[in-house]
Amino acid sequence: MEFFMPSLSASLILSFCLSSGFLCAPLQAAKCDKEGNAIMKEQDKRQSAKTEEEKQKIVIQDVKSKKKEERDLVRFGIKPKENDSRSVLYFNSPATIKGAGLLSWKEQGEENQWLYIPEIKKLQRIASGSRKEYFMGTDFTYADLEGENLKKNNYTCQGEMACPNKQGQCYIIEAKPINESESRNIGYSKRMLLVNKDKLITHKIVFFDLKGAKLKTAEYVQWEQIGKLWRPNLAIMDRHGVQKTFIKVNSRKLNKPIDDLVFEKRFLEKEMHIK
Amino acid sequence: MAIKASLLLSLFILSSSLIAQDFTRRVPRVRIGSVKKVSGSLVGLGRSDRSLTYLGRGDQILDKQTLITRSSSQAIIKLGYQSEVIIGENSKLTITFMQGKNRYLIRLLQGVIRGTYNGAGKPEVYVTGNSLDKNYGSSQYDALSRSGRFYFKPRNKSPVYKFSTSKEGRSQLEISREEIELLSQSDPNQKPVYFLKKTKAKVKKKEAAPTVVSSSSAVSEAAAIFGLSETATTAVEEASSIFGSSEASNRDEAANIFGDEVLESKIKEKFSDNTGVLLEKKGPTFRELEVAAKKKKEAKNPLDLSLYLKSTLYSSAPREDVGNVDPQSFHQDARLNFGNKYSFNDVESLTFSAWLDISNRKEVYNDIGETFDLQSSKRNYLYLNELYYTYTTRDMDIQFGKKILKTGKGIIYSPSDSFSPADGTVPTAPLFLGNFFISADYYLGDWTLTGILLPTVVPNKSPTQNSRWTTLYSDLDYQLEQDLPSGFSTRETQFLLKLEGTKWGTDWLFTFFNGPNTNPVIRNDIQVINNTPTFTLIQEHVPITYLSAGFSTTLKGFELHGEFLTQNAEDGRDDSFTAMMIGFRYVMDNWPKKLGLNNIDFVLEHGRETLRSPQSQPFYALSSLNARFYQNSWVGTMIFNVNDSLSFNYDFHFDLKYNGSAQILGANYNSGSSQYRLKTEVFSGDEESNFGKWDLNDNITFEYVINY
Repeated sequence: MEFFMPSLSASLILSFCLSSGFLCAPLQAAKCDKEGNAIMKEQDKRQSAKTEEEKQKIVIQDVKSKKKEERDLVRFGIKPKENDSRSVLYFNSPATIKGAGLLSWKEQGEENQWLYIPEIKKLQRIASGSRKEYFMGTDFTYADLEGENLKKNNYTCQGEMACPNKQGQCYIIEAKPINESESRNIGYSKRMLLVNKDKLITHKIVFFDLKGAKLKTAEYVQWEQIGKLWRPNLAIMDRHGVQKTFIKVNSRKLNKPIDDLVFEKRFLEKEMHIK
Repeated sequence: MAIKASLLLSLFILSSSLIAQDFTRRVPRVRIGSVKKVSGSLVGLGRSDRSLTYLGRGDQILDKQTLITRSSSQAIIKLGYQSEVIIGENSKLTITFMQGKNRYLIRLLQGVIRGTYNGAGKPEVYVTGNSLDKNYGSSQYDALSRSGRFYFKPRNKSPVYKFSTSKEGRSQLEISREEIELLSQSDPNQKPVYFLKKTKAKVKKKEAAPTVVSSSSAVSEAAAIFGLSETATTAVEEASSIFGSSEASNRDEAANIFGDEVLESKIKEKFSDNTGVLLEKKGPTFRELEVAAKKKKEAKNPLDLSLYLKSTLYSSAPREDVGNVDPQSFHQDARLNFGNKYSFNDVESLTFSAWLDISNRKEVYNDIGETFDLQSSKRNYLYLNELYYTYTTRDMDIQFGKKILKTGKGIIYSPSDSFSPADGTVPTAPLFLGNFFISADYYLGDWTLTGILLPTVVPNKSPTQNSRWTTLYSDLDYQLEQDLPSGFSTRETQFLLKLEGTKWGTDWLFTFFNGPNTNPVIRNDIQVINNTPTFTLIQEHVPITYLSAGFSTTLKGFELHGEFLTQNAEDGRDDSFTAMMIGFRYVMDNWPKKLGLNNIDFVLEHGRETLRSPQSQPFYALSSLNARFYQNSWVGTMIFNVNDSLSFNYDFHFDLKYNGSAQILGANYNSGSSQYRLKTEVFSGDEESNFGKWDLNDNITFEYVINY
């Protein structure tokens, strides 16, 4: 009667952060006289891909004990229509969660998620986890992994400064949830973003808790240009003094055809994902 | 503000170095070498303390000292009388003087070094990686350590010397061919890789802290938030190089974790930043070579393996008033699970899983000669649980062989899953068993129509009549025989038709089943031999038919599910009944945080059965009633997740029909590929209930699983 019940839910996302561009993705130059909302909207518009395929290594490190845990994850995503998306992700390691997978369909505003656990041999529907919960023991919450939700944040450009690592000039953008309810849902009072003026990529995000104290910092590095899209190959989330999560993308394909079968329930149910 | 911060940092740095000196004085160490040249930063770490010192030209190297170079840094150190070692960037090593042997041992933990010995005979300096087993030395050599792998390569055909604690000698072959090849591939021209080469532009000693361009108050605040300095004072620079900005240290850690790719990318970025550093980089990266080597290794391991160990200590001896029951109060089980999947191409695959099982339980196993009796009611030491072939097309999947087939919408209990057999030899730790089957799945949009033919019944395995878990306690020393269906008629072959799909945000399931019941009934055969009646109890799999429907949906944070089933047995040989199940799963994640928990995962299900027509056929002693555990039950689990590694669980099953209960309290700890579980199981109930019959089976159990 014991189950693997991770709030695997939002996992698809893991990648969104590294892939789809919202959170981490970025865009084209605009001066600070340009409105923050406009900058972020443009970022969103430019960085969307129709299909994505990624292989990631996730390392979670406890700051005090230095103990590390590694996970290998594969993710496929497709965006057949403007507001619809399907994704599937599954773990290839460690052996304890090998084969566990999450299938997500977002269609007409409705979200369906299923979890597959090889030991149980059934694909089970799950409810989306709370957005402020940390995903699978990482330092990314479900909300972080959803990417920038332009409709639920107000963005204000506050100035410019040098980007980290001399990567040009950056906009300093403050992102505040549109209301208190949303703030409570995601667990942040605000976030500060450093967005590259040239490439419009987000180098760094600092998160503040509901009391306004600095909570954690996300860095996105090793940027790679694929066609017109920019994607980071390494994301580091540092929950200061507690834990760090490193997500490394080992391979990525954008806008390459993916068989629809991958996004069907049978892909996990029939264990086609286990090679 | 910034000046004040700088001042504080300077004071802190100053006090740190004073503390370091203090420790150095208290722990005197032998000087074993000196720094000849430094480009960038060379950091020396204390042995027993955490002191940190920047080393410059002429500084001493102490015995057992750890040296670290940062990015864009390189250092040359002198060791012994005639040895020099160049330490490449992002390297970490410890140098030890071995007094008895008069040698220097460099333990290269990360990075790259190049060594030269200008004397005659055997070299003074030997190098090793993380493992201290083998140490290599040569007159001219390069050594590299990345991601836990160590490479050593002589230059200019210098002989390689090796020594270990057991023996020492001289041989080129003492380094494995693979390592030599790896180095050769990466360095085809016998030139060093990954060493910095100066160009006209000078290498900057320290990374300048990024500066803020516009200096409004908002920007200053932002600079403070992002950890960037508005004005890069010397003190801030120094602090930054000692402690690193969060980014630099995080990326260093990422480099340690992920190996070369991160470092290389870093190097590329620095190159593009035009810091004046050029890198020679030829051939494949070490990362690529490591991946290739890893693939070779992986190819040699054709099985997924896991080992399960279990020890159970019962609080009481078993019942003594009935039969010949296993009297032991301490049971030990060990099981080696193994299996794999072989994909021939994109559409065809073969999957198998099996186990090797051993236990000190009494009369649990078949004789070894009956190992391949897959229908036996007893366990086999070696059991082939699954072996099936899959053929996939766009619209259909065809499968056949032996496979665990599960269906239903329940998390703990699914009425329609009754055709799926289980090994309930230990009922609280059941094992799913594979069915012999041929199936075809036809896909139509989000719906799937499945037909499954199960030509051979694989019966449930119940506790043996000598087990303390049996529910068939009897004073009689009865013989229990099996009557398995044979033949291919609808009465002897199981058939399942299933329609499953998603509509209106809900998953739906409809099933029809016909064939022998996986749960047997007990028939009482009477034979008269020599005018004496002889009774034989026979397990019979009575033909049944059932129809079921199920759903699963979500409502806010809840996952809701339910099933309804109606079952008819042939000729009154078993019960005919209606069963239902309804339940939910909910993850609580707000208030548990006040208790120091991540969340509480809660599953609750209610099973209810209405008997429409009880078993009525003469000479049938028992229906499948005892195998139907959820006639009026609340069953569930609460998992208290403390963090990713540690959780506690409370599982329960309250049987309202017989006023019985089974409760389990457990603690679970995951560490890497190992899982540890400690639990206690408590049973109570009326005498006629299953749980009542187990009231002497309260126990404490320890389980350990390791996955390879």
